Order: sequence, then structure tokens, then C-alpha cells
Amino acid sequence: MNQKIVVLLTVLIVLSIAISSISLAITHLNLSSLNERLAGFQGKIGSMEQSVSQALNLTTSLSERLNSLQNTIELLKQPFPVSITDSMGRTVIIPEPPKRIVSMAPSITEILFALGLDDAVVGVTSYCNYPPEVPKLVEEGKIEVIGGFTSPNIEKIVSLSPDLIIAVKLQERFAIRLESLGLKVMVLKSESVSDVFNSILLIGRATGTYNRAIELVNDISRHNMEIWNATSKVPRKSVLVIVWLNPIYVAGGNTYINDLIELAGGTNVFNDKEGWITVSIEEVIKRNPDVIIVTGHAAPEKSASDIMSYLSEIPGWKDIEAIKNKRVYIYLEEAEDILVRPGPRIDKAVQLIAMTLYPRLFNTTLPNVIEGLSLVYPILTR
Amino acid sequence: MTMSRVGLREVVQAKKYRLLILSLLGVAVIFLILITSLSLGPVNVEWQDILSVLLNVGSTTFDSEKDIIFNIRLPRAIEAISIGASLSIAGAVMQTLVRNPMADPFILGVSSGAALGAISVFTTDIPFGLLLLPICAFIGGIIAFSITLTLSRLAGATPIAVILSGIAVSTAFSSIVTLLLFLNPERSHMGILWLFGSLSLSSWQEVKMILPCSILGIALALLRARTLNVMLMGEEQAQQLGVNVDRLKYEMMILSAFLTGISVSFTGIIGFIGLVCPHISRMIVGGDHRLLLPASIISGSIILSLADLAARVVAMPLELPLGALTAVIGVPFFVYLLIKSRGKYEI
Repeated sequence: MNQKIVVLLTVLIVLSIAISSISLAITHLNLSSLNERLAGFQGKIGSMEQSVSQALNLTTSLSERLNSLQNTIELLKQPFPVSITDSMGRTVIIPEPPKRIVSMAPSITEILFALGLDDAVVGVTSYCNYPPEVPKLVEEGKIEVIGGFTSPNIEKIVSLSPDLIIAVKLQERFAIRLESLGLKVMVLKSESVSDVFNSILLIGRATGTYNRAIELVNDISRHNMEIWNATSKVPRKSVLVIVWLNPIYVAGGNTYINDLIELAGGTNVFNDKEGWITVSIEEVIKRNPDVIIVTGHAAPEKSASDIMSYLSEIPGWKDIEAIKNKRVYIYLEEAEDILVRPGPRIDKAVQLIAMTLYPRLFNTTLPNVIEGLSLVYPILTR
Repeated sequence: MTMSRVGLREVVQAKKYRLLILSLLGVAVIFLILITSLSLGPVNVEWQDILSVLLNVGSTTFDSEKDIIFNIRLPRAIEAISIGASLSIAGAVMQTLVRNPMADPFILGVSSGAALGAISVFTTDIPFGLLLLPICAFIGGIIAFSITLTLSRLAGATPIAVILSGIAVSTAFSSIVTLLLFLNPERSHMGILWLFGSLSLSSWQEVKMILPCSILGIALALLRARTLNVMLMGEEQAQQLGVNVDRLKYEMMILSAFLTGISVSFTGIIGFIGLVCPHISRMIVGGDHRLLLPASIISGSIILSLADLAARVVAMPLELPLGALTAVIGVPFFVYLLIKSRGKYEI
């Protein structure tokens, strides 16, 4: 009897050991799968955390934006005086909406008129020809000419007793002199499209026309987007913009014109070089542009057809794609103005370049000599 | 014996008399031009109003007419007078020193050095305050002049050594300027305008620096007038007469460089005055430095003031480059005197 019990117990013990070891083994197996599952969970939690943090980031950036927007609104609500940091990093305090503004550059004049400040402008340069009201107002004596762009007449400016003078970066020396005479001077940069946007917004704030300025920048950007939507679907054309013929002087990367070309969906063949550059005949052959744009002032003594034949007679150039396919375009008058002048007609310049590069997209054929913008307006006002 | 002594005294008397006449006439003409400069411009001011504006400068109310006359035109006119006089004196001294009628204040390389200093400012992105440009230009001028001085010393300090060292330094500095302008085309325009010379940014701050320097330099030159006369006889003669020729040469070179440096640093390069005004003066009063130097002061300031007046007024509201107008105004006068002197004229 006792022996039986002992055996039974042993068997039981053995069995229980076996079972427990088996169950242990099974649980171990389960555990590892559990571990895997856990890892999976953790991964999911991680990705969830990520998305949560992303969402958080978004909210913070959104709230930041909201804050900045609120700040802007506050600034807008704020009555004058306005404090402005201009492109040179100087603080200009403007006590009340300016009523006598002197513009020291054609691009600034264009911005002022685009913001509806027609009545406040009292002085412009001899180069300011747009909008067409400007030369008319000058003729009627309602606006005075303050001299040239690089040679403004200090006396003339002072005699107009302006309450705000807007100059560009090149004119810094004059700005400093005018400031020393107790006048308010804002200096703006215009080396890129975003510089121009900034200038528009700064002028908007300085003159109490900030809403109009935002609208203007939005309009320009929207038009640029429209052009981009059309041109981004086709292979990019490479383009060379020549602003002086002898020596060959072209727009490189990091220039206002380079920005326009990019926005128009083209590639500047010299975008790897900084700023305005003089290039060799060979280098142009090597870069082989699909399209060449020449400004009228590139050779003031030559007529458009002379420029055309001059280019094709440069040794080796007749094999350049642009010359072979008669894709050389000369911009004159208004077309040239909008190309070289960093003002509020950016969208028109972008469209003109886009049409020059991809005429078929716009269902047009372009003449090789482009004088005005009659071709451009219909599409933008569509 | 007695006769000749009386003759000498008469000659001295006559010279003193001529100096007096010359000074009075010169000051009167300069004053006339000054008043004209103050009244002409985009805003025309009556002559009598100028006086009332000048006498009422103490009041603080902002009045653009007052600002134009007192803070724009007056410092500009004063700057024109003092720079014209400085360049002219510097030229007269250099011509005597190297005994060469082609010499001008720019022969020492100062202007090319100043140009390099100024163009470096224009072609870099340093935001320039009111004084950075003249300071850099002046430092450039000093560096170029020091090189010229060292070179000419190494080459024996003869007049020809001075001229050739100056040419070498000027050419070297000018080519660096050309390179800088070429490599920074988008910024070169303002730089090129600087090279043309202009008084359009004159201000009281500038006058405060230029005027004392000019007066000091010119006074030092006037004190050396007698010694410079001796130099006209040739270096050996001068040496024998007890003039420390080497010392005088370095003194006068430094003086001339100083006057030129002060002028070009603030206004850019204004040619012609330093080359031709001393000749004009020499044709009128002769080679005696006691007359020549005052006459050079007067002719230099008159021609530069007239040129600046023309630069401001002729193409209003555009301003013409001063460097071109000095020649336009001065050359006819110079040619007239040249023909009239019929080869009798020499340094």
C-alpha cells in the first residue's frame, strides 16, 4: 500500500514536473510571442507618440502663426506712430501716415502707386515711367522730379519737405545724408522676389496701407502659382538672359532675374554662378541655352535686328539651340522694364518669361522682338 | 649800387602791391561765386534773403529753404573752395618739386590709393556710415603714398624717380580698382560715380574735417614759399644756398599727399584742378611762389566752385559729374593764357 502511494506520488510528481515544464515551455513560447506583440505595441505607441508630437508641433506652429497673426492684427490696430525696421536693419519711426512721400527708384514708385498712394507721392526720379499717371502728374507739376536714380538731387528732395523718403540699398550714401538733414528715410533691398514682397509689406506698414499690401502680395503670388501650374508640367527649358552684349554680361544665380526665371518654370543656364557675371563666348556654347533673352539696353547703339544678327554671327553660336531654333527674344520698352525692375509687376514678368519659354502652353506665338505687354495682360486678367 | 638797391625795393614793393591786389580781387570773386552758389539751385532764393537766412540760423523751426541754404549749399560751397585751393596748392608744390609741368597732385599715387580704399567699401557689403568711406579712402591714399615714397627713396629720390614710382604705384592700384569693379558689376555703378568726383554729399561734418586740414596744409606751404623759390634754381644750387633739399622734398611730398588725400577722400577724384590751376596762376603772376601760391589758392577755389555750380545748375535737377566740368570750365581759360604767353612761359 505504502509502496503504491510512493509510486503514485512519484508518478504524480514526475507528471506535475513534466506538465509544469511543458506548461512553462508553452508559456515561454507564449511569452516570446507576447514580447513580439508588446514590441509591436510599443512600435505603434511610438508612431502614435510621433503623430501626437507632430500634431502638437502643428498646433504649436499653428498657435505661433496665430500669435504672429494676432501680432500683425495688433500692429494693424495700432494707430501711428509705426516703428519699422528697414532692409538695412535701421529703425525708422513714422509718426503719422505720410502725406508727402519721395520715391528714389522706379520700382518704389510702382509699389507706391500699386498701394493707391497716388496723392501722397510728391517726388520721383527721372526714370519713373510707370504707372502712366506718373509722367502725366510730372508734366502737370503735381509731382516733381528729384533727379536720376544714382544721382538724386539732395536739395530738390529737401525742397519738397517730404515726411517719408524711400530709397533702395544702392542709394545708402544719399539716405544717410538725407537722414542727417532730419528727414525720415527708409532703405529697401530689392535683390530677389522675396525682397520685393518684403518691400511692399514694409511700405504698406509705413504708409498705413498694410491690408492693400497683403492683398497685392497675395495677388502676385496667386498669379505666379497659376503660371507655375501650367509650366511645371512640361520639361524645363534652359534660358540665358543677356543684359549687356560686349562683354557678355548675364544674370547668374541669386539675382532678381534668376528668381523670375525659376518662377516661370525655366532654368537659368548660369544659376550656379553668384550674381551678375561676365561670361565668355565659349562658356555660353558649352551651356547651350534653349532660349536667349536680350534686353534692349544690352546694346543701346544697335537695333533689335542688329542684335539678332550680331548674336548669330558670334563664332560657334549658330549651333546653340536657341540660335538654331530662332529662340532669341529681345525685350524692349515696357517688356524690358518689367524684366529688370524689381517692382510689383513681378507676376507680369514671370508670365512674360513663361510665355517666351513655352509659347505653346499659352497658345500663342511670340514675335522675337517684344516691346509691350499687350500679349501678357489678357491671360492674367482671365 | 644805390640804383639797384632802390630798384630791388621797388620790385619788392610792386610784388607786395600785386599780392594785395590779387588777394582782394580773388576774395571778391570767390565771395561773388559763393553768393551765387547759395542763391541758385532747384529752389531759387533772392540774394537779400540769403543774408537773412544766414543771420537767423539760430532758430530751430524746420524750414526747408533755410535747410537748403544753410545745411546743403553753404557747406558745399565751402568744401568746393577749400578742396579747390588744396588741390591747386598740392599741384603747384609738386610741379616745382619734380620740376615737371605735367606733375599734378595725383602723381604721388594718393588718388589711386584713395580710389582703392573707396571702391573696396562700395564693393563689399559693409554698411557704411557717414565716415567709413572717407576714412577708408584716406587710409588707401596713405598706403599708396608710403609705397611711392619708399620706392622713390630706393630709386635715389631724384625728380624722375619720384614721377616713375608714382606712376608705378598709381597703375598698380588702378588696376586693382578695375578688377574690383569688374568682379562686382552690380555694385560698381556707385563706385564709378565716386571716381568721377562729386560734392553732392557735402555736409557740415565733412567741412569740419576738411577745412582745418586744408588751412593747415596751405599755411605750411605758404611758409615754405621762399624755399620753394630757391628750388627753382635746381637742387644743387639750392643745396649750395643752404637749403636742406632732401628734407624739403619729403616735407613737401607729405604736405602735398596730405592735401590731396583729404580732398579725394571726401569728394572722389577731381582731376584738372591740381594740374592746370597752378599753370594758370603762373601765367598770370609768374613763378615766384610768394605770389604763385596765393594765386593758386584763388584760381583753384574759383574754378572748382564754378564747376560745382555748373554741375548743380546746368541740367537741373540732374547733377553732372564734377570731374568733367572742371575741365570744361578751366580749359578755355588755360588755352587762352597758353596762346597769349607765346612760349615765354616756363616753370
